[in-house]
This record gives sequence, structure tokens and C-alpha cells, in this order.
Amino acid sequence: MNHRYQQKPTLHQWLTLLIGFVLSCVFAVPESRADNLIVLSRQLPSYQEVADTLASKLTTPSKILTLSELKRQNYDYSNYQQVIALGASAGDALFQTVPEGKHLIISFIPRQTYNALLLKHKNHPRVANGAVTAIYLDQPYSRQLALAKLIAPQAKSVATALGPHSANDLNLLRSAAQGHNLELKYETLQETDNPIHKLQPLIKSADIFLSLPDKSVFNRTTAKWILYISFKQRIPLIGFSKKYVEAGALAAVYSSPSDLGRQTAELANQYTNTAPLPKPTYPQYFHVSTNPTAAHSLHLNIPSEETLTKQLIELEK
Amino acid sequence: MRRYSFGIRQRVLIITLLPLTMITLLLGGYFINTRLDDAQSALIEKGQTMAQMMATSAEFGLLVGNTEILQGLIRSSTKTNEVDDIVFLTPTFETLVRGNTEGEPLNKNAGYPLRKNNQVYFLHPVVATGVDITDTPDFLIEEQEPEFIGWVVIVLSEKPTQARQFEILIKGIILAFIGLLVTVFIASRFGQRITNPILGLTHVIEMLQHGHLETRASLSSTGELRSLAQGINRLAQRVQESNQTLESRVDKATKRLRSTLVHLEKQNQALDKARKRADSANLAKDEFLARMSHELRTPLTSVSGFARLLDQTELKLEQKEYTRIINLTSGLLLSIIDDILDYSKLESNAVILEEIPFDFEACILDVLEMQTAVAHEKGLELITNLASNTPQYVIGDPVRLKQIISNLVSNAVKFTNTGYVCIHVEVKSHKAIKTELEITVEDTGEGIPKESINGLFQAFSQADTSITRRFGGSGLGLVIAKRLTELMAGKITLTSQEGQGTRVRLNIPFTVSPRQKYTSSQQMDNVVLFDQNPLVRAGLKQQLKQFNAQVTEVTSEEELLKRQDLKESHSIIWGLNTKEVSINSLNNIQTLLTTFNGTLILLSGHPLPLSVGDNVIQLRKPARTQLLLNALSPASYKLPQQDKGQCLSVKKKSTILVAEDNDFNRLLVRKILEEADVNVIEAVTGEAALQQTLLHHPDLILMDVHMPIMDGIEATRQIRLLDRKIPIIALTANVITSEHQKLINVGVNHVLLKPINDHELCHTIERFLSDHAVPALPASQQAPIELEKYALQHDDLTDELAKQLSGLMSGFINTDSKLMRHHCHQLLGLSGLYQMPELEAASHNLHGSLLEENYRDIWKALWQIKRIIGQDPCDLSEEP
Repeated sequence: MNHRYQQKPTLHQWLTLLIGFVLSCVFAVPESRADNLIVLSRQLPSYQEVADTLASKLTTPSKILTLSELKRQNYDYSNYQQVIALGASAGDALFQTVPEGKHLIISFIPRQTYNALLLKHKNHPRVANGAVTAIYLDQPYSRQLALAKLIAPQAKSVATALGPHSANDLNLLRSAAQGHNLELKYETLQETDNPIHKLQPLIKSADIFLSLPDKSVFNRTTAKWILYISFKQRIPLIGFSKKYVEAGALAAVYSSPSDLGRQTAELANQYTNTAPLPKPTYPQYFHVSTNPTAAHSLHLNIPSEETLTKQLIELEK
Repeated sequence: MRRYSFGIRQRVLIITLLPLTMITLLLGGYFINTRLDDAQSALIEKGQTMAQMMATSAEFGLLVGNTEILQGLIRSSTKTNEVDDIVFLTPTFETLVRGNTEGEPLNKNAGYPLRKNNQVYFLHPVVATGVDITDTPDFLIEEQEPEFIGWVVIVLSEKPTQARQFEILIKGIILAFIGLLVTVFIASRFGQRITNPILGLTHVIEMLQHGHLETRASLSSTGELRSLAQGINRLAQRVQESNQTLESRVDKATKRLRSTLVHLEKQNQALDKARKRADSANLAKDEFLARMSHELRTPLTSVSGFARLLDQTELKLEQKEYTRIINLTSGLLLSIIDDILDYSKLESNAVILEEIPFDFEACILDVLEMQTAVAHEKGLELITNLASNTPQYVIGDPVRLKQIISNLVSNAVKFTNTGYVCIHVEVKSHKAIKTELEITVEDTGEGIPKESINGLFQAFSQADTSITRRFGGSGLGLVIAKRLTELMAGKITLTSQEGQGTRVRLNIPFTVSPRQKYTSSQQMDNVVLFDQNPLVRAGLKQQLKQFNAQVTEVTSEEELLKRQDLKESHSIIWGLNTKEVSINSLNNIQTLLTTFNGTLILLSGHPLPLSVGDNVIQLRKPARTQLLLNALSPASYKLPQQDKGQCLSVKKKSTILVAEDNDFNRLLVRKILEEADVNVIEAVTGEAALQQTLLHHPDLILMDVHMPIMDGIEATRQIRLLDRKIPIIALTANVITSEHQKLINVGVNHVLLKPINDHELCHTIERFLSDHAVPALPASQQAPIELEKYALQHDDLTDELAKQLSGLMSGFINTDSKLMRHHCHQLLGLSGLYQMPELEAASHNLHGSLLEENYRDIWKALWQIKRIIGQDPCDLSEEP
């Protein structure tokens, strides 16, 4: 083999290669076993569950790798038609390594994180090409408030705490609250603030407290003491995860990994090799989780999880 | 160093208590210690737990800086007296809230838990904790380190703990003490359960040792102790049983012994009785024998008396010979009667042999002559064959010797039917005056079986019981012979051959008497000797040797007849058969006499019915040497006579006291003594004798035993009190030796038996009064005393008898038994002395009747005496 030939590929050669690759992709699809590459941020059960659901729902074959495995393969995407990243870390890593031409679907990522990622790579051609999209992990504010309204229909006001990350969503929140005829009471917290000190009077003032996944507002300690204060004040707390409901929140609307995998698979099947990709979306499929013990403590009579889920779905139609 | 000895109770207590106490103390100590530690660690733990809890509780308060909450916490916690103080501190260890504001300042690095002033300080950090609220990490809620928000210090007081510890200690000690008490109690109880039975057993053993064998151990204990108790009980029971057995045995033995003793006592009493009976029987026997001897003697004296009367008549030589033999036989019989007495004496070794000189040959011939009648009846020859060197006079006891030989010869004659009985005498040894004579009695009888020989010398035993029937006899003969021989220091041996004959050999030592036979100086002519039996010839030859005769033996009648050399100076001794003399022999004698003019001496058993001349002399076989001599040499004929002129040869003018109540006796004795020219003093009673002795101091006293007022025994006793030297001779009619012994005991020197024998009396007196030694009296011939010799007339005796009779009569009339007894006694003495057997027997009767006081018998006896005395006394007396 000619060494020089290899070292210095001409455009022609590149084209040839490309044509060949494309051809091989077109004609050799049936033979290729991995059209889709699914990259997990880490080997976690939640990621694996999403990947498994995803792989099962995809019409084309797919390969599941963790980010670290991919890294060992030098981010070789040559054999895959499209790449699906699960989680923020995978999304961040793949955003840069996946060839521009290839679709990147980032699933299982918080909205604010995706927004920060886009902001980070705002000049990347992919963004312009529309070769990247996301399916958010978190639920839209309207859905959460709808749940709040379903649980406490008499509620007039809703309180929430905003951190530096979520301060931008204030408008979104306000509009959502208005949509549900709720007065929004909020407090913006700085990193140095003692959240308990600030939240105590806030919670006291509202009918419902809505917790938002902002690390500057909610850490484990704060979450605990907010639960403590809300119970003490007999204010229903709407959480943002199933875990929070289990920890003591009254209810939460959430999407399970299989929900998200299913939605991702549908997206991937729909947009295979067709550009551009749609805009990022909130989770289409979701569930409601309730804590009957907490409801009992708050002297509330709430519908069952299935009823609430159905009602929410009904509301969104 | 002293060692203490503990009892089993103490030991068991120690053994049980020591480990238990140690365990109790150890466990108590351990548990108390553990509990104290526990209390301490509980305090620490409590403090730490409280601090931790307080840290958790204070989380919110510290987080929000709410001092009210913290104060509330302090208040709620310090309500307990244990918590002294609670301090909440900032992370920089600045005191935020404090319960006790006056508490000591705290140092972070002091090292907790810290003890100070009875307080313990616990420090615990306060950390904010949270809850898991995110489903995925993608919510960007960071995994935070737990936030450190401050400190909490709990100050606990140690006082309650110390109080608790003190309480624990006290309770522990009390418990340990109670435990100890319980232990002691249990140990002592259990110990007692072991020791009590052992102590009980020890006590039982001690009791058993002290002999309380009924003691038993109680079986209340169990196990080995029970077995031990059972064992001890069994042992005790065995010991008790054996003890009881022993006791009962001892008891039995004691009873047996007691009964044996009682039995012995009874036997002793019986023996005593028997002895007394035997004594009295012996006494009776003595009495009986005395009476028997007296009774036998009475007729014998009459026999011998009449024989002597006959002897004094005109008799042929032959008849004289018969009367002499009668005398001898009766004398022998008399001595035999005495021998019966002697036999009992022999039995009790009471026979004392006499030592007197006697004619040995005469003694032998005396014996033979007694047997001649029987022997000749059987046709036996009785032969003597004395060795020529046999001493004629020897010293010994002739009566006993005669008794021995007579026994042997009579036996020989008894058991010999044909042949002869021969007495050989040989001198076995001769040393100075001692000689041992061997006397052999040989017969040709039927002999004695060998096996019977030994039994012959046992009393009342004969070779064959049939012998007793055939021949009679007491069977005493050989026994007496043997005893007497042995008494004479001699030896008797018997050899016999059945069908051929018997030889009895006597070896007896004798002292040769100094007085010996005369040696005849007479020279005999030739003597022709003929007897069919060569032994007879030999015997005669021995006899003839003494006369220096020339003896020619002829062995047959024919030879004698054929002899032509027979002269007048010749003498022929012709021995004929003892039983029957054949006609042929008689014819031969007649034939011889036709030619022979010399002396012919015919020796036969019986006198021959021959009318022969003076030159023919018939002699009985065996012929005495003296008779032969007389026949052969009529010139030298002299009858053997007593030494009559002997009497007393005492010192002249000796004084003799005669104590005799009987006048006649006294007179007789006086006469006898006066013959010897002796001065005689008389005494009628014992008392008078005593007085006379005092007055005259006689040289000798003749003491009659039976005297009125004081008898001879008492008189002798009293005289002996005054004079121990004077000889006293007692006169008694009593033959019983016990009386003699009594007399000897009171001091009598000699006892003389009545009737008075003048020779014996003289001889005895001579022994006491003579200066020279008096030889023993020769064998007493028992010659009756001759009254005439002492100028005593029969009339005197008659008068005396009449006097006694009248005394008796007057006593009878006056019924004066005492007087009668006196005169009866006198009569007894007289009749004995003068040998009037009829009168003596009658007197005896009277005496017995007087003792019984039977007047009918007295009268009978008196009448009898009167009749006897009424006759001529000479007819009564044996003496003419």
C-alpha cells in the first residue's frame, strides 16, 4: 500500500469515500447491525432503562455504549446513522464529537441544562443545521400547576423559590400561573442565602408550594426542611420527582425512563436521516405520583395517581 | 508449731464453704465490678446518645439560628437531675446557647468525653442532613457533603451515677452477704447431712466400744453411709449375738460347774457317809473278827485242852503222838484264825514279823504232820529233804513261816492224787550269820496251766473255779504266802507242768541263831534203809546223816530179805506204803522178823495190825529226826521238853506293882512274880495304883486295863504325868489292836494278852528289868499255866468263882446292873485266864445281856453260869 496515498487524501478521494460510505449505508443497511448509537452518560439503572426501552422501540438496530466506552473507541460514529445521547454528560460530549452531518438526539436532560449546552455551543453548525434536538427530563410548569390545581382546586396562590438558574423562567412561570388562575409568589435566592430563612415566610404566605429543580434552591437539606416547613404550615408541596413524593411531597408529575425512552424512540424513528430535527420537547408521556400519608396529614382528599394522570392527560388534549 | 485437729464437721464445713465463699466473693466482686463499669459506661453511652440526639434535635435550631428552639431543648433536657448543662456552639466553637450560664468555659480540644468536677462533658458536632429527592442526577442537584452547622456539649453529673454505683455496691455486698449466708446455711445443712450420720456412727462405735452392744445406728441416711450404718449394725448384731452366745455358754458352763460342784458336794457327803459307814463297818469288822477269833478259840481251847488231858493219861507212844498232833493242829488252827486277822493286817501292811529263834526242821515237820492224815489217806508220800548244812535254829517268824509252808503243802496235797509231796531245803548262800534258804515244795499233782499261774497270787483266785468246788478253800493261801514271803524279804516263784506236777520255790533270808543243834556223839550201827520211793530214801538218808550212821540202801523187799549180813547190831528202816500195806509186804516183814533180831523201824501211814516183838517200832511217815533217833537208840530217848526253870532272871529285890481288880488273877500274878524273888505291891483300882506308885516308886507296873473307878488307861496316863521312865506292861483280854494302840499312846511300854502266860510274862518283865539283853522268846507254845506250880489250889479258883457268882446273884436280886457287870467282867477274866471255855461263853452271854439290859436273857445266862460253876471246877477247866 502506498503510504503517501494514505497520508494525503484528496478531495476526490474524500468524496469517493463519502459516496462509498453513503452507498454502503443505503445498500448495506440491512447488513448493518447498528444504525443507532445510544450513549449513556454513566452506567446507571435509569439510563439503562431508557436505553433498553429505546432500543426496543427503535425500528433500526442500535448499539448501546456508555460514554466512557465510546471514549475508548475514539468516538467512532462511522457505522451509525444517528446518535442518541442519554443524560447531560453524554449530550455535552457528543455535541462536539458527533460529526455535524449526523443527527444527535439528546434525551433525559433537564431543560435548563440543554439550554446551557446550546448556549455553550451556540456557534456550532449543528445548531444551525438543526441536527440536534432534545427531549427534556423536567415537566412543563403548566402541567405541574395543573396538577396543583387538581389536588387543591381552591388554591389561590402558588409559591416557589427561584435560584440563579431558574430566574430566567420567571416569565414562564408567571404565564403558567396565570393560565391556572393562580397568584405566583416567589423568592429569588442567592447562593449565599439561607434558603430556610427566606422560604419560611414564603411558604406561609401561599396556598400551594411548588418546588423547582434548582440546585441553588434545592439541595437535600433544603428539600428536607421545606418539607418540614410545608407540613408545619399545612401547605401542599408539589414536587418534581417521584423520589420527592416518596420523601414526603404531596404529589408530583414525572416521566419515567421508559416513558422517555419511548418518546425518544418515536422521535428517532420519525426523523431518521431527515433533516432538520424538530425543536426540543417536554416529555410527552408522564405519570402522577401521590403520597397518601402526606395527604392524610394535610387532611386532603386527593384522587388516585391514575385518576390524576388521566385528568392531566385530558387537560392537555 | 501446733497443729489444730478439726472434727469432720469443721472439715466438711471448710471444704464446702471455702470454694463456695470464694466463688461467691469472686462472682459478687465480678458482678459488682461489672455493674459499676456498666453504670459508668451507661453514663458515657447515655451522654453520647444524648449528645447525638441533642445534635439531631438541635439541627433545625442551629440551622435557622433559632435560640428559642435551642432553649426549649435545653429546658426539656435539663429537667432530669442527671443533665447539668447543655451548650450549643457555633461551628467556630462560640457559645450560642447555654443552660448553665455560669458553667466553665469550654475548650474544643480538651478531649471528650471529659471528666471534670464530678461532671462528664460530651461533645457532638451538629450536621445538617437531608433527603433524596431526585430521580436522576441530571437535575443538577449536587451531592453535597453533610453540612456542619455547629456543636452541642452535654454536661452530665456523675453524682447520680455515683449514687447508683454506691447503691450497686451496697446491694451487691448485701447480696453477696446474703449469698454467703445462704451458702453457709446450705453448706452447714449439707455438711450436717453428711457429718451427722458419720458423727452418729462414731457415737455408735464409741457406745459399742464401751460395751453398749444394744446400740444401733439409725438408717436415716442414704447411700454409702446407709450401707456403712447397716454394716455397723450387722457387725454390732454379730458381736452382740456372739457375746450373748458366749454369755449363755459361760452361763451354761457356770451352771454345769455349779451343778457339778453340787454333785461333787453330794458325792463328797455321800463319800463322807460311805467313809463313816466304812469306818463303822471296819470297826464292826474288827469287833466281828475279835469276837469270831474269841468264839473260834473257845472250842479250840477245849479241843486242845482235852487233847492235853488225854496226853496226861497212860498212853502208848502212838497215842501220845496223836494227842500231840491234835495239839499242834489246834494250835495251827488258832494261829490261822489269827492269820485271818493278819490278812486284813497284811492288806493294810500292819503285820509286824517276829524275830525269834526257832527250830527250822521242826517247823517244816510240824507243817507236814498237819497234812499227814489227808496225804496218807490219798496214799501220798510226804517227804522232807533237808540239806545237811541247814541250820537247825534260825531267827525269824516261825508262825508266819509255818503259815506259808502249810499253805503250800496243803495246796500240794490237795491237788496231788498219786505220788508225793516233798519239801526240799537247800542253803543258797551263807554269809556269817545270814543265810538264804531255798525251800521248794514239790508235788506230782495235776499241775497248773501256764496262763493261770499269774492269777494264783491274787486274792480269792484259784486256777479253776471248779477247783473251789472240788477242793474248797478260801483261795487266800497263796496270796498270804506271797505277801508273807515278801514281807520276809523273800521271793516266791511257782513253776508247773500240767500233768507232771508243781514246784513252788521260796527264797527267804534268815539270821542263823547262835543257839544250834546238838551234835550227837553217838555212833550208830549200820542202818539198812529200804523204801520203794528213792526220794523217801534220800530224805531219810539225810536225816540219818546226823547220827553218823552207816546207811545201806536197799531198793526192794526181796533184796532186803536176801541180805545175809544182818546182825543184831543192825537196824532196819522199812518204809511202807502210806495208804495200804500189801499182804506181801506184811509177809515179808514176818519173814524178816524170823531171822532178824535187831531193831526194825516200820515207817507207814497208819499203824500196822501186827503183833510183833519189842524190837519192832512203828513210826508215822514222815518221821521226825528225834523219833528216829529214839527208835534207833532207845538208850538216848528223851522227850523234847521245855525249859521250865527259866522264869525270871531279873534283878533281885525289884519292886513290881500289880494293878488288877480280880483277886484271883492278882494272886496268880503275885505268885508267879514271887517265884522270881520280886517284891510285889498290889493295887485293886487305877486310883490305888496311882497312889502306890507315888508311895513306893516301883521298878515296873503290871496294869490291868479293866478296873473299877479308874481304868488302866487313865491310871497309866496319870502315872505318866508323874514318871515318864517307869515301865508299864498292860494286861488285856481284848485282841483289838485299836485298844492296844490306845494303851501305847498313853504311855504303856508293852501289851500282854490274857490269858496270862507265865513264860511270856516273865520274859517280858525280864526284858524291862534285866541288865543283859534278853533274846526273843521262842515260838510260844501257848502252854497253859500250871496253877499248882504257883501253889494255887483249884479250891481257890472254885472259891473265887463262887464268890463272883454270889456277887452276880446279889446284883441280880438287887437289879444292880453295875455290880453284875463288875462280877461278869471278873468271871470273863477268870474263865479266860484259866481256860474255862464253857464258863467264858456263858459269861459272854451274860455280858451281852447286861449291855442290852434284857433281864430274861440275863437270868438265862446267870442260870447257865450258876450251873457251870456248880460243877466241879476241875471239870470245867481244861487243866486238871
